[in-house]
Amino acid sequence: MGCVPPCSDPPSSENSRANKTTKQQLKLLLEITAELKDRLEQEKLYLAEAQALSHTGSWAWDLTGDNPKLVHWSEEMFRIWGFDPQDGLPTTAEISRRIVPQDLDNVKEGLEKSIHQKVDTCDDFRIMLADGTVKYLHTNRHPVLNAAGEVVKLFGTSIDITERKRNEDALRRSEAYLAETQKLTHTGTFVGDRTTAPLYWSEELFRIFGFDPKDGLPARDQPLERIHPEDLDRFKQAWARAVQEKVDSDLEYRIVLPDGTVKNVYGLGHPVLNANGELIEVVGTTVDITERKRAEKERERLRQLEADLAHINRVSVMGELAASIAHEVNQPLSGVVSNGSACLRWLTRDSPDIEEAREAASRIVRDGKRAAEVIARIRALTTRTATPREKLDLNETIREVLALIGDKAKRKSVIIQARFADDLSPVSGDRVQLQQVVLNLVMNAIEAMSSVVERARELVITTRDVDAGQVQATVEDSGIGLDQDTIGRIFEHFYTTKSGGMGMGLSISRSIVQAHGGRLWAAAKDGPGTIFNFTLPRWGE
Amino acid sequence: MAKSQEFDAVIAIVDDDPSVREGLESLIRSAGWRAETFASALEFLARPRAEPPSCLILDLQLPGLSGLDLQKRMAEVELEIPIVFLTGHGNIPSSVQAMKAGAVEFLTKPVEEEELLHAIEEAVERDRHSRQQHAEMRELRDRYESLTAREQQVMQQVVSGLLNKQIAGELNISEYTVKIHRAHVMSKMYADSLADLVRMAESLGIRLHKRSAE
Repeated sequence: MGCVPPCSDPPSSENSRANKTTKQQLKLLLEITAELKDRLEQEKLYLAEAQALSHTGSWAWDLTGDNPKLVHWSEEMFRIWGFDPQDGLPTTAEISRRIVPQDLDNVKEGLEKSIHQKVDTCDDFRIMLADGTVKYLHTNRHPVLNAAGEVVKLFGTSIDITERKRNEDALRRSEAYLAETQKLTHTGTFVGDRTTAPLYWSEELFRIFGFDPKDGLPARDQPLERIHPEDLDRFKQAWARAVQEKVDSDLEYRIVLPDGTVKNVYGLGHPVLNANGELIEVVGTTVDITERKRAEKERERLRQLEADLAHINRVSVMGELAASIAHEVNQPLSGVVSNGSACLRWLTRDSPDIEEAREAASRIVRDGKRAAEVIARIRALTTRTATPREKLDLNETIREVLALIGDKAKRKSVIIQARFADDLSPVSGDRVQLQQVVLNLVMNAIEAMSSVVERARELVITTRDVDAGQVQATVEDSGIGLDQDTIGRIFEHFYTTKSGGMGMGLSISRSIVQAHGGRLWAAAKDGPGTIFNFTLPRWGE
Repeated sequence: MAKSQEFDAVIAIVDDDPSVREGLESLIRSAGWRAETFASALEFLARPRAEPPSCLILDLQLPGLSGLDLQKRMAEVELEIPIVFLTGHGNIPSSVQAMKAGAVEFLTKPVEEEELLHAIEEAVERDRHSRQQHAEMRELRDRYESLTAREQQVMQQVVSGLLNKQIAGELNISEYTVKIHRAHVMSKMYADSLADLVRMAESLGIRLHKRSAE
């Protein structure tokens, strides 16, 4: 802050004195004196008001004695420094004590400079009042010289700039926050004219475009040169849209830095118009989305990988089930062939039996459809593409899996008991994925019972509504069971207890259930065997 | 195809799959046989019947008691029904086991009409034959039972090749009396000749007489 121009000397009081002593003259003099006194009082009042309004106090030191003597300390000074005018003028020591120790040397330095070098000085310093309040003061000092050129007085003003200082600090802080936020969010701000020439660029925007803020604003074409050639036309079109159509315009484009680095950015421009609706400038943001793009790509890659693995798991389980599936298709086909033969026989008998033939033919239709359904299920389960979430009857979903697995269970002498709740709430899910989960659990259960000879090989599948808007399915076997250590690990990738297992089935199943907003967990049974549970949110939950 | 005398033959079908069961039932009836269907081995065993069926069409893979289990169980209780096995997958060890245990045929689904009907015919024929044998055996036994104890003794010694004189000596009776017994045996057993009587004795499992030491 610059110094206020030196204040003029206080009006000198050494002036004319009447030496005519007529009564009239004396009376006049008294009147004039009274009027002057009034006026002076008035002026003093105005000055005090002005000082209070501008938070400016004035002071004067007499330097003619051995020690500097405070001779003037305005009312506003008392208020600023927190001294009570009733106590009289503060002492030098009292004043020094109120100055914040860190700033005291500075103040003394300024004082001495004004006195010894006879120049105006100014300082910003802090004072601390008795109650702990800290104030920022701006002080101007002006030495008053006598005819001999000696400093006789030091006159000055002190302005309470606490408020301004606070606003400045707040502004500085908010600017710092803004810069920090821009850095964090990789968001730069720009203001440009209609031709794209920069009028203002935030620090972050310099960083994004790879320019040095020290070199000043780039020229109009400099940023354009850094836009990927394939995207430049689109950029210009987007800018033109903001300028000509006077609408917000956004664009994803690439910039290429001199070192070859390519960045993906997202720009948004907003036209600023004057009262006549004419474009003044374009204000906007440019966000560096390179990292986000990369993360998105990575997520997509992982998602694809997971989908591939899930597909491999499904196909490999279906491979294990090939014989069972062949059987499930063969059964209805067998029915078709027998009924077909029978139908022909009923028709070609000496006395054709049309009713028997009709019944046989309708069974052909039924069995043919049944075979087609099995094939459709296999096709759905081996498909790679994701099916949409839909409202599902979990019982039906599980039943379809059991239709594929029935023969395998039979050959492994496993008795499957389906204990389905009658009024099970529908769930929301991907039919194929959920069938994959059931398939994995049931196959594991059958496998777990393959070495059991001393008790029935029983597989119990239960469904029921549970609390908190969930539907729960339980797959329980009477197999060899799992120890606690194994139960803790079975959901890990590539963990398997089977000689030919990939160790993916359960981890994939758990991912699927979790993606549906449910849980999949295993528990040991009191008796031999293991229980697998999974929950799914009810439809609409 | 179906002979008139086989018209009343009952063919039992045991298969847990309704498509298979109903298709076979219709086919078998269209060929002129009567058919009964069962969804499991236990259901087949539990159904009360006056006469066993003439042929059993049996699925190899049945829930609970399997086809082979049923075959074994039937052998244990001497329930002799010719079995035609059906299987979804051509399982060689199972088929060998089934055939060894006396199955008529082992067919793979979907089963060829001619093959199946031919197998059933053979089964029914086998059944007819075995029923006839059983009937003959029963008749023979009835005849044998109608002989007196002395006549049975004489029959045993006759088929053992002893002369009347020798028999008389063995039994310490007159040769004339032996002749009378012998004539009774021949007529009661409906034997046309000595050779005929020997065959009957063989069927009845009569042990040959050992002459007592002279």
